[in-house]
Amino acid sequence: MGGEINMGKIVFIIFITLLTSSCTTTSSFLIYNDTNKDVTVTISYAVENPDNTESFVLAPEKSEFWMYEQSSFDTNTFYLQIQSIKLAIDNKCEVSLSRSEIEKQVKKEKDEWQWIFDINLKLFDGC
Amino acid sequence: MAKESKELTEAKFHQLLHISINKPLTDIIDEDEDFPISKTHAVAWAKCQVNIKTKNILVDVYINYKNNDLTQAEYTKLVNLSNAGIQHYWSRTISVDGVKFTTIVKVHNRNSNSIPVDLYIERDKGYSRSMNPASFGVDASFIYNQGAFSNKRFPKSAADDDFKQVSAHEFGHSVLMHAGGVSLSWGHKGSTNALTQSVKSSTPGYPASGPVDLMKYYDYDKSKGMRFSSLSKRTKAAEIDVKRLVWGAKLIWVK
Repeated sequence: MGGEINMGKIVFIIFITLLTSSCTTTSSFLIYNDTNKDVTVTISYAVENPDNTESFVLAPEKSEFWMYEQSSFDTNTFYLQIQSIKLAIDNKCEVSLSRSEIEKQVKKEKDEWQWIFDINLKLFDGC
Repeated sequence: MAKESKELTEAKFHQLLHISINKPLTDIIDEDEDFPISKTHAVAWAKCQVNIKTKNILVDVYINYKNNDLTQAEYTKLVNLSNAGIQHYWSRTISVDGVKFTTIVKVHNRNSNSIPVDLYIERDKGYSRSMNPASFGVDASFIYNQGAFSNKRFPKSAADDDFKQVSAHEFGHSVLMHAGGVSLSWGHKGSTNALTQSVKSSTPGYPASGPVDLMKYYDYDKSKGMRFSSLSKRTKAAEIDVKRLVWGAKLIWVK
């Protein structure tokens, strides 16, 4: 009996995996504040809704992350809905990064699901 | 002329509860004289007490958590997290005939007459999906993604919080399957294709404010993204789904 259920489960998992995993994969995008100051982060999303920005404050050594499903064909690029990121420190020093600029900063190790964007003081060198 | 009582009676509670989830009062689906089958208050894995005086509904849910390759400490941790998640996301206020009931869901571990759940820990660094087909005699699989959240940049509670929410969502598939079958359950209340799980073109983005439905998918292209921290705070089982749970559970009316 137990064997039958296990076999049924295996067949079911293969069936569902073929249907779903071949289409999408679960990924995440994480922003980490690697400075010793609060950073105000403003994200612009590339979405249909005109209300496409949000801001939040990230304390030192804190992070925020997004989980999303992405086409398996797009796994070599980070969260497609991120259009640009604006970072402000001490309420005066501000830096804006386009998607291509963010792309140079993000890291992803092989076999990991997360793209990591570290905010460090080097980003504010131009201030 | 007799004065009409405004008190919510058991009969009226049933009538209005069933109407609110679009169910007939009686739903004999098999006319066999010896063994009539009804789905109303018929699941073996849930029972509830409706207390009309205190306006509380206590729902007891029974899950058979199966330990596969986990240590006892890991098993206990996952059971506690899953229970906490289901209890948190499924406990809420529901309204019947204008009467607000505080509905509290409590999960118990039981071998029989329960939802079978295999517990796993994914130690690799990719994210593994949990599932609950709630049919074909296939056990649900609740997966704790330890490896995926092992990077120290993730908030400390991220893996726990994700597992709690995932467990609550997967449990919900049993509720929806009983109430509405494959299209409601696998189709995430009409938001996805039941087989491929991809969002439909008609599916909206995340709501700009207010609650996010635990059992629906949303279209990422139509609204700004949802940070996990916001998603955890805003997500809740919809009132109609908690009513579906009460509708499926064996019901005791307490005066």
